Amino acid sequence: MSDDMSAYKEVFLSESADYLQSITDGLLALEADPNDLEPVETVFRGAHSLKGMAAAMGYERTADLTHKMESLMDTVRKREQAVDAELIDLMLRAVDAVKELIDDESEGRGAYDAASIVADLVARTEARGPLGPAWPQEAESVQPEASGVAAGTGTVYRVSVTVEPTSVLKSVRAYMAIKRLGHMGTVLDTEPSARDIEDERFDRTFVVIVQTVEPPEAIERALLGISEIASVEVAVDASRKPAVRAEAEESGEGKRRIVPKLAETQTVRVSIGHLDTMVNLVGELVILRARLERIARERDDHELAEAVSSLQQISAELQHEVMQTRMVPVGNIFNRFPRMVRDLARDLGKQVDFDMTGLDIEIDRTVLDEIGDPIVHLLRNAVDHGIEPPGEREAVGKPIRGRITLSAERDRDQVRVTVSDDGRGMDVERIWKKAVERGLVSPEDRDSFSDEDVLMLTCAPGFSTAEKTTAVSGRGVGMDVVKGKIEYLGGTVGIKSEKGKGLEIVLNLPLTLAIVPALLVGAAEQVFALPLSAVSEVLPTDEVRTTTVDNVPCIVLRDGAVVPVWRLDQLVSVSDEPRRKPRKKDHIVLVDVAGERNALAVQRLVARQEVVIKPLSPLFKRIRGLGGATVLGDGSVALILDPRTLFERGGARG
Amino acid sequence: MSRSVLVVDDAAFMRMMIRDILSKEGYIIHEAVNGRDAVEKYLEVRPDLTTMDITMPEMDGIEALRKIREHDPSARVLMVSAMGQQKLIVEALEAGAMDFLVKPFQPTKVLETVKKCLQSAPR
Repeated sequence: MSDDMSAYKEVFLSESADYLQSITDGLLALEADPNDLEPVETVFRGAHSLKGMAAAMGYERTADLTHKMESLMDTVRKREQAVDAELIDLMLRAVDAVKELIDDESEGRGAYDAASIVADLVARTEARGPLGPAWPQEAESVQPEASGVAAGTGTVYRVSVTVEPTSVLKSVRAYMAIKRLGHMGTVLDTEPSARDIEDERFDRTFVVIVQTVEPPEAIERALLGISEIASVEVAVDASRKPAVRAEAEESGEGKRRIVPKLAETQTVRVSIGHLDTMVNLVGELVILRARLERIARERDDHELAEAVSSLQQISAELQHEVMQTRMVPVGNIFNRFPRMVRDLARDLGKQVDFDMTGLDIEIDRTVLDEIGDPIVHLLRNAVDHGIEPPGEREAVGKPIRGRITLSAERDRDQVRVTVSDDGRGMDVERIWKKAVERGLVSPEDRDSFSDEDVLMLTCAPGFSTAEKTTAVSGRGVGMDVVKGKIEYLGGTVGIKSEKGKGLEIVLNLPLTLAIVPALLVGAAEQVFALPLSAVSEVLPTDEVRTTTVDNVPCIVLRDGAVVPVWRLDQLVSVSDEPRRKPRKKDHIVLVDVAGERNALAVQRLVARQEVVIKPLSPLFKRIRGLGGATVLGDGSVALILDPRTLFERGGARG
Repeated sequence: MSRSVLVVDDAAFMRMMIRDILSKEGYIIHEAVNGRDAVEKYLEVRPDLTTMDITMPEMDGIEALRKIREHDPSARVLMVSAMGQQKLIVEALEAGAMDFLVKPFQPTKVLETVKKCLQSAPR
């Protein structure tokens, strides 16, 4: 493939994924309401666009398959084909095949065989017959009713507005002015264009052409009521009136189109690699700044300190902006869930309506990548264990179709993801009984546990209430893994349930991961960073009693709990020395991952600070116990410990 | 007659700063520490103007603004935001805020904006 084509390939791959997604969404919408014309068009257009794109790339088999999909959808459009579960299944299988085929052809392998799906599509296309009156073919002919209110009457004014030189967010000021004028009459045009105003591509003055019955003084007064507007000039604009007005009336929506839509984000596609590099570079800048600060302090150099302080401000802003660019809408991974829930429900014979909200909520890419699996697990649990079979629901007087909702919302510097269902919920007393049986709690402690505390016991390692193991969610990852993952990300998990009414699981997630607060500790002449989210307590050695259980050194905490203790220098050393007890001067750091506690003996407590996580080179990636590296203010490198795997490594050898 | 202003911000420092600026000019100041508190205080004191921080615990400023305007559609609310919250400001303006101030701000700018808000007809 020539260089030119390889540049297109990236765009093709990312855009074709978008089309496949919208086809999938369309098919699911069509399944929910087979009489809806709109998703039929969406799917048809998607297949059509893919066909053209694939052909342009020279992916002939992809082009052929999508052409067959398009033909089948064309018969659906023409009402020659019934929309039934088989049709949706067939098309969804075709979507999967297109994915495989694109992978195959873009890699130049030629190994994937799409013959059978192509044959199925052709067979279904040919098995058509007129079903009833055709849907209106021309979507364009279905015009929305024109508004009964006559388009603006009155005089056309040329309003020139100047903002104060010190104004911040000029575009928002302009937006306020245009909006206010919109309330008084009809905004016909702006100079510069709405787009340029939105992007702050104007100096201090912009012009709004408005048609209104209000007198010029009223316009002036209204605009001067906005702060940071320095002056307003209103003049009659007779020249524009006829032409512009006709145009505005003709388009019907002319007014709405002209007001800058500031709330809408404009996006460009940037490869993830660039963003990662930018974060790394900004991270280095932050580190360099810390170094300069140290030098300025050591030399007592005020001039340098001042420059560093400006640098501090700029780099903080830059850091904020870069982190902002890494934010992606949760919809990017949520969009695959409707298909998954549907397939799962069908396999299990459940009837489920699945809703998602807050798809535009943004979160850091690294966090988003990590929460996909836990959410999949929660959704599977909901379909498998939560929602009852239709017969059982009917018997207890619930609607036959169960409802599962996945929602995301922003709460200050956190994103809250909620998975809820209206299924059978969790039985608090049964969970308590089980926890007692498993020895997780003592029966007499029931009073000190709230219902929510009891529900959280399902997240304790090894706990599972599934009476029988199903292929879907009884085995594999359990709630303990979900909780562990979310806590590793610096988040928290909450469970609410009412027996028989349903279940709600709430994940509170941080917006970003690349910078984490950490405890810097010293061992074996090195400095290590331990994410603060996993540290529950720090104790001097002389305040704890050490003991040995089954040859494993342990410490006894104040509350009497016995926790295995590890020496960090031994955990990170390559030698096979037997595990030894902490030394007298060591500090004990109590590490808590998903309720599992371990004590870590370190030689020094260095500092508490925010560290920028840098990925390890592939050479070190496999080493358990390490989560990355960071550069400290003095330029030295510190390894970041991964509390989830740190003790597994020791355990295997211990 | 002195006008009353409800100053809403979770940071005591910011409340103090705005209070100092406004009380010198004879405004009567009430304070609220988060969105939920703001809605309660608003209904209690019915201020002539509310200055509302956007990012706050319990209930953010935009939700509080919506709640207040549900109870009192003529409420005058002035948003106070940090840099880089352009989208949120627009959201607030859509929800009926009259104007906005961006932190950090000059006392004169605060006074001028407050005055403009009180002179304009409520939206």
